[in-house]
Amino acid sequence: MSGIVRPRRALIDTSEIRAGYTVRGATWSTAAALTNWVLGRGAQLIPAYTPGPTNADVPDYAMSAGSTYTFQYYFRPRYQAVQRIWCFTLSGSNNPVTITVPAGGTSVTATARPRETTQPVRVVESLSAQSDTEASVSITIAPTVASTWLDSVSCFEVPRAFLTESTTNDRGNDTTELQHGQPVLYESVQPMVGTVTTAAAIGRRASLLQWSVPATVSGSTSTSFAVSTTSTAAAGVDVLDRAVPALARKTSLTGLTGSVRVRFLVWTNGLGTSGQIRFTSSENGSTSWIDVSSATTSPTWTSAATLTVDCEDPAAADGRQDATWDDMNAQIRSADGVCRIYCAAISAWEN
Amino acid sequence: MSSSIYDGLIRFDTSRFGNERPVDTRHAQNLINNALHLADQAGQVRVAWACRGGDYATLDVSSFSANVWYRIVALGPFPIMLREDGSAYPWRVRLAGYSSVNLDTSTFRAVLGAPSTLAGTARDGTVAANVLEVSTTSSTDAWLTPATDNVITLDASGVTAATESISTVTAAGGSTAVTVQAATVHLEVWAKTSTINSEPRVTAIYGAEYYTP
Repeated sequence: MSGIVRPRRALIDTSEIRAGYTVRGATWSTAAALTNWVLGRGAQLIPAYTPGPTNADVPDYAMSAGSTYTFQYYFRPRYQAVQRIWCFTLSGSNNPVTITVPAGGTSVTATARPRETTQPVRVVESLSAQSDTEASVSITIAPTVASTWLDSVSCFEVPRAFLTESTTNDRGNDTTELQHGQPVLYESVQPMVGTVTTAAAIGRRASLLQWSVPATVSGSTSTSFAVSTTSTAAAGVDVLDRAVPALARKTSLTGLTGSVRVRFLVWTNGLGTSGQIRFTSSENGSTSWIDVSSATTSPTWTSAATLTVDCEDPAAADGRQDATWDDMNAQIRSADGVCRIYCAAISAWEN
Repeated sequence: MSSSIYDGLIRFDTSRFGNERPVDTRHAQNLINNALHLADQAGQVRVAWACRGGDYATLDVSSFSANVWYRIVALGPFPIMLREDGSAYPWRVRLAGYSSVNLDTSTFRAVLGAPSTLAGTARDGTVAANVLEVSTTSSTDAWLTPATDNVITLDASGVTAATESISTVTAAGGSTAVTVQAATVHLEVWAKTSTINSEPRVTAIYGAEYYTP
């Protein structure tokens, strides 16, 4: 048997679970279904974002005809996912655009339409194997006509219809074994026991922030879209206009913080000694500065750094602790004013 | 607020469990607390965008009128987590922007829902529950504070309008087709200006699901 994943969550009347009384089969069955629901509905791998402003005031994000633009991301998917759906909004003059997901994989041709009438394009990525290992993924966009814009990108895991019953991997719970009128033995709830005591195995926020612009155009490194600096300012230069809110899940009884892993796609101009990059939390400090040697002259993912951020406060109306936003910010700087550091992607996900 | 008993995860010794043993009530309570808490915390970050420093998104029309709503940014689609009553998990939304001319009023609306419903909702005279409205007269880029709070909701009828069947497979690398139901929505930013001399400019938007009973 297998664990069916329902479209909506369930509630359980916990007042019925009292010492000295039997826990009803229906309560167990609902708990198993709820666990399947958290496991199987899929994570948002790339929260929707806009690679470049979508207006003519800032024209430098327009893509050229005949070039192939590579967007790179890094995330930790959920093990239960078997397919992903990538969503792209393209604008242009009714011109065809080739989208390849992942890079080197299957291509589809979409039409970039005028912005007033444009519709998102969905591309399904079927996974050859299940995995929850951190990994980089690239996609490519190849317009056939100049002045084509990529207005938005997002990616999510397709919900599962059912999960395979197991104590590891899929972790599906067979609700048919939890009927009324029969004792509930450990075997019947074993997958649920292992799952709900291991927060990392269930319901992770697979991404808190994904920002990526092309670092590679037609196979060559491009500095057209990345943020760069030779500034040696102690606090560095912000990569993005604003620090982005971050709230991790609360995965303990009394915890106030969670852990975020982050990687950056960076390189340098090859001069001087090094550039540096770091990630900060407005409430919980920052990572150490990560050195990017001047020998790194092509786009390269940094090793993962870990940042502490606020976790949600379940007692708060909007989840924020003390009604305060914890904002994540990436900053870059040069070690010597000669080395120019470039950043073309920031990827942050729950640890 | 939370649907769990303890507002957090309970850790306990799983070695106390054993095959062919019944599960006692205390362990049942802890297990179910954890399942509820994990479901409460299952909300995802669906939108997280901040533009490069100095950039912005604004009206993409050759000429515009004052006090007319225009769409500036369209994001999505993405699936949403559904509550037990068929409505969506509430969203925590935050929007940053400014007016290109100081003292001119720029008003922004972040609208959540099925694509076919967004334009009407954005232009409506009242601010619906699935809309975050913020305004500014400042030409300084900043996160903008709404009149009440940062939480928006999508009711069951709004979810129904966004519900679709998605064809998928039963296993990685598999070919056995199966259909799942999901409500897939968009988040759009609309804006208007009090005068044609200025533009409303958006620099960042964030939207995340958060469960409250």
